Amino acid sequence: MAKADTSPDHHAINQLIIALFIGALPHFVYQPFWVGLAFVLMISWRLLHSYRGWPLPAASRWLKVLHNGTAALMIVLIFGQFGLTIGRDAGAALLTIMLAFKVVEIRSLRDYYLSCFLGFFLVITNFFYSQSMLMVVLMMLVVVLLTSCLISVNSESSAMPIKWRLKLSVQMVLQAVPVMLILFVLFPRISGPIWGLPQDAGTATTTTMTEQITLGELPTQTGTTGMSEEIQMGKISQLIQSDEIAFRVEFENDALPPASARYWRGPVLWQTNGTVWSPLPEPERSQAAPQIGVRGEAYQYTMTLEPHNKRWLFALDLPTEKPAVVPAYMTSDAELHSQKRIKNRAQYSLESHTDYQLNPGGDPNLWAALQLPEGKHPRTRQMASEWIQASEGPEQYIDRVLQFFNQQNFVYSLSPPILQGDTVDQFLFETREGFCEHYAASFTILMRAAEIPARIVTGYQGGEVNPVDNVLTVRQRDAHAWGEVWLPERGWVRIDPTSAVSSQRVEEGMSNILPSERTSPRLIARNDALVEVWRDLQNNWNALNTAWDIWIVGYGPQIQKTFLSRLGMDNPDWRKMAVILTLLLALTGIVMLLLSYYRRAHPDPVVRLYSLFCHKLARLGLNKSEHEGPLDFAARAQNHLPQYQQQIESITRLYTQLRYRHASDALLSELELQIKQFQPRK
Amino acid sequence: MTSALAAFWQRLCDSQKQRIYILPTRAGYGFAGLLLLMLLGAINYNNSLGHLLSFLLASLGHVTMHHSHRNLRLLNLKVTPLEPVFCEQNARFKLSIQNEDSRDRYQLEIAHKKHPQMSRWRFFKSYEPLQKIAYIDADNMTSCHLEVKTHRRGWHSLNSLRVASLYPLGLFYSWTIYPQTAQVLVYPQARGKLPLPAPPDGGRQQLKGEQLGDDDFAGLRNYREGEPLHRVAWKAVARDEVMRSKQFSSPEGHELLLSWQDLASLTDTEAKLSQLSSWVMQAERAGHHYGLQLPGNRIEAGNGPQHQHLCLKTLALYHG
Repeated sequence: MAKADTSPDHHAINQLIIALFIGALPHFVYQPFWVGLAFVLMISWRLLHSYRGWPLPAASRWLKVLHNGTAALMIVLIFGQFGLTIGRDAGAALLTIMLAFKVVEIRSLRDYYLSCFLGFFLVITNFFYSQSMLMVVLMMLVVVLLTSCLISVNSESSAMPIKWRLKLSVQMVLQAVPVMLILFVLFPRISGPIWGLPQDAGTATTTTMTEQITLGELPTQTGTTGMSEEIQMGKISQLIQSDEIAFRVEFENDALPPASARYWRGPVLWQTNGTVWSPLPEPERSQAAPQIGVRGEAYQYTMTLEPHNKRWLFALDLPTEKPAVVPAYMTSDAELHSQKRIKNRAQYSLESHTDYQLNPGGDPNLWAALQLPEGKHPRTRQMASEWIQASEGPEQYIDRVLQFFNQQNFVYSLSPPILQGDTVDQFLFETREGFCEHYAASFTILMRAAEIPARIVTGYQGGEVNPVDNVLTVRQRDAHAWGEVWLPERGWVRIDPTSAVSSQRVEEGMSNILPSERTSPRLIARNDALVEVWRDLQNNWNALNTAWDIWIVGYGPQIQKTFLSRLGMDNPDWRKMAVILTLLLALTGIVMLLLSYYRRAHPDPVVRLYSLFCHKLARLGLNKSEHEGPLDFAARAQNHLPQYQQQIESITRLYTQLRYRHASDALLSELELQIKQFQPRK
Repeated sequence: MTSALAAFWQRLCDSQKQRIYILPTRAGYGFAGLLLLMLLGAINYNNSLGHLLSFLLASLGHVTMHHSHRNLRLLNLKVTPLEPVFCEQNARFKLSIQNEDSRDRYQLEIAHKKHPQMSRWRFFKSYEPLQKIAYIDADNMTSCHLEVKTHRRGWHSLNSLRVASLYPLGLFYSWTIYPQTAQVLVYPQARGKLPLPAPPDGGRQQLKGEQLGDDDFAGLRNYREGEPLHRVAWKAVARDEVMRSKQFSSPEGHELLLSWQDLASLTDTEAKLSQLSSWVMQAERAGHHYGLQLPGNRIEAGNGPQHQHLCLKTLALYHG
């Protein structure tokens, strides 16, 4: 409208550069180094212009060519690095670089606004990489700074010192919080994506459980059907290296199962070629629902599962129902299977019994639980056939096998020697060093060789309970594999051969087996008292992070429904949300408007007038500190503003007289007049 | 408590008397577009903090609207016209703005309506910016001069004043209109090449002598010692206790009649008025006694600033 498009001043541009620099800071880590380099070079150019008077690209044709040429080069580099599809990484890199190039050539207010707005966009790109609390704090700082940039170009520096601008922008951002919260809670969430996501969209979950277990070295030529290259990462030993969270569990009434019963059931593996274990093909496993008999109390709990891009849902062994909110079914081997891949954090409530009977009347897939790879593991088979003949029934045989693991020199090791050749024979009779998947696999082979149906169950075991919020956190390092054997009348019975070797692993959980450096920083690991304090801090921090991850970062369509139902909304759908949202927004708007008419004024008019006087001086950068008396302040102000010496003197005298000696209406109006006429300028 | 509520209610009612309009600027629309894009991105990537940021910025826009509104409400404008001017000079008004809220105001742009009968649909173009006010302190007032270029003789009015602002973020343009009645008299431009006419026959003879004489009352000035007591303006003394002496002047130079008929060579009415205006100025400067003869109007000969103003005002308001 009637607005002259003048160029913003140096101060405003420097302010913008600071804001953008902080906003781009995380990208220096996420992006290739030359993105950060280009950014720093470009903003330095602008800063050198501000402080040293270096010419801008507009000054000469050669500089213009240099500027545009480098920009073009950068675009080529981006395409070279990321390919032609603009995904998250390429988009963020492009934005970061182009923003820096734009800042160099800001000439008009329009450019300035555009850069500020792109700065806001830069903030959101950071959230695509990290949604931690620290990131939010950093980005809120950027939002406040960018807001103050907008204030800067809409006020004059003589009227509003930078301190006031920052204060106003903090105030405005804080005032924006209530409506933000209302929108955040009630804005009907849609489950994305609306359009196809590029490959790099997923959050940084690198290691998750896979559908297969591989013992020993994977033969390089196994291009197994339909599997991604992730198979090679499927070894549980690699998962154990990761402290990433797999899922969190919150038990109702804080009724937690005992540590030894915390088996989190995941994919069930049946088929093997001697090295690789894999689940049953789809038709067999969805043949019939499992028959489950239970005893004792049920555990009720809510799982918050981190996205793993697979379809299985973990549950406390054994779930007796399928989750209500996530569309899922239960396979015949009692694995919870989601209809869709879990690409976002999922939350579901379940009920489990730790005392159960699974398919006691028989299982249609028992034949698969007896299959052995042709001509493999000869020594194992031989030992099994000797032992079963010597045993009276399967229970005795199982005990013997477990005793074998327990009494022979088997070692639970996180870094076992690599197996070559016949993996099971080599493990059982030679290396005897391994972790859960070695024991589970060789145990299962020993069972099958003795004609006892057996299979491997993978999942997690244990987890840490945070005493602060009683949330049980299961991390990737808690990954585990155990065996299940089918016995007549009793159905599938869980046998964990690892516990025969290392009962510590099962009863105390993984974190006690790990070296203390894994759980606390190296420096304090030697001092027990410090480790204790560190634990406490960590527990509180973890509880906070859990709440943050579940309720803020994980707040999506599902958790929104859960949350609104808890608040008392009956069966929330988007219509109800929209109605309540509109009502609440209107209400907040009215309250904000009414609040703005309320004024807090000091009851004494003398104090009110004097604070106006101080306010006018503060505009020139003269702030009266709390402990400073009016006379001291006046002396300081007179020093700074000699041309107003007389007025300051007279106002201060009137003020002290009115405030500390006697008040009269005549003096008061004199003070009012003098203060209103006092218009100091530098 | 009740008094605070009463004051609250009073402010609320006061602010309702003045309507404040508000519209997004181009930057504001850009900001809205950005928000939409952000929200789409957040939905597409299922990014909760992306949602949070979009909502924070949307809410920030809403807060900006409140600040923008608050920046303009409870302002009290007073416009005082200043001295008359000649056409093509700037008419000057004194504007005093009283800030009646407990909050500073920033970046006020004062504009006036150029043409009184402009259609309301061409609202923005009909206003011409006059002055910018960087700030007004809370519960304080500021004043400035408004200068408007004049193009026509007669009464010049500001029509209505628009106080507008982009503050605080430039996302919204808010404005409010104050109808104004203050007007400044605009004399016809003193312009014309014709020489001052010679005194007509039968006019007074040229008089010589001191400039301050006894004949005509010319005004009052502060009493100086040594002046005769009969010159003291006793009525004025009774009024404000300051001794003043009456001053009399004897006209120096001719008595002129500046007449419309002398301008037969000029066809245009405005040119005639300009010429007369120029003559009035010349005659006054030369210290002549002069009168004015217009069709249907005659001003007897006289002299002095009052007389000059009367003549020029008559010319300014002349309707042919």
